[in-house]
Amino acid sequence: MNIEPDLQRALRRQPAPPDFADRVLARIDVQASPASRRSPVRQWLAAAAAAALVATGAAQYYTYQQSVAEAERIRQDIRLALQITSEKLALVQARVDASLSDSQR
Amino acid sequence: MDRDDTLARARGGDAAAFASLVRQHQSMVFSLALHMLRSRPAAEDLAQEVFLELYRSLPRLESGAHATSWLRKVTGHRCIDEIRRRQHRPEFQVEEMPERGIFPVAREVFLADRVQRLLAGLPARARMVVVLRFQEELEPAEIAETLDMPVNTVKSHLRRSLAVLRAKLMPQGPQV
Repeated sequence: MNIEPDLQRALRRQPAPPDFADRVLARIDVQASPASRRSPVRQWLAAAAAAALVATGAAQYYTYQQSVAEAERIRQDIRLALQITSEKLALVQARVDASLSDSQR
Repeated sequence: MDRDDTLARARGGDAAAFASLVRQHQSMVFSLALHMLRSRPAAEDLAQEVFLELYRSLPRLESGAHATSWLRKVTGHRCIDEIRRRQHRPEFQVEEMPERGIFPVAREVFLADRVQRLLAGLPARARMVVVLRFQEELEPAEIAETLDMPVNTVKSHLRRSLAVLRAKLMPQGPQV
């Protein structure tokens, strides 16, 4: 039995997780020694980290705004549904009342 | 920009070049760790540590090819150490895996998983030899160089590991 093709399939390379390289760079920045803090690498990493923070903040704010808008839309839908239900119940109530008064005559 | 140039720029403090170096090799390093440790979080942690060590070792690396072989070597040794430290064992027995009466695509998925579980039962160094042989398609002499072991030991690991895997993967009876 030739299992080598099965081994090659089972052991083929897998892609690294998304943003893997960014996480490595972030760890380098954190672990950088004081002597390297004024180096071009450190400056570049600080700028990249700041840009990443701004981008993350903007993305979170956008998500928050989307959630608020979605909640408002759901609130409007519920209000409309309650209004329709209330009108239907009023109509049923009126018909029941009419039916009762007819039977009493 | 070729790999030697990327390495030279990374050595000179160019962070973008170092990021490029990481991206060029991240799949190799991550996959070696994943096939050895069988855990994505553990593989990512180990791969990150390897690249941090690469960053500290940049001044000693002479070429792109040297960086590649250095990464294989460090990843291999770290994986073996990690397995020995944790005494990794398969989570459950391979006999529990479905084998017969399944569609071909599903069979391939199950087979890959089964092979990986069987590999997890091999000793750490033998497992690393098999992973380097079939993931990286290295020759025994290259594996010997990577793992600092004699070529004959590599060949012996390969021969015995393949015999074990073949025996366990051999169909037990007629397929349904």
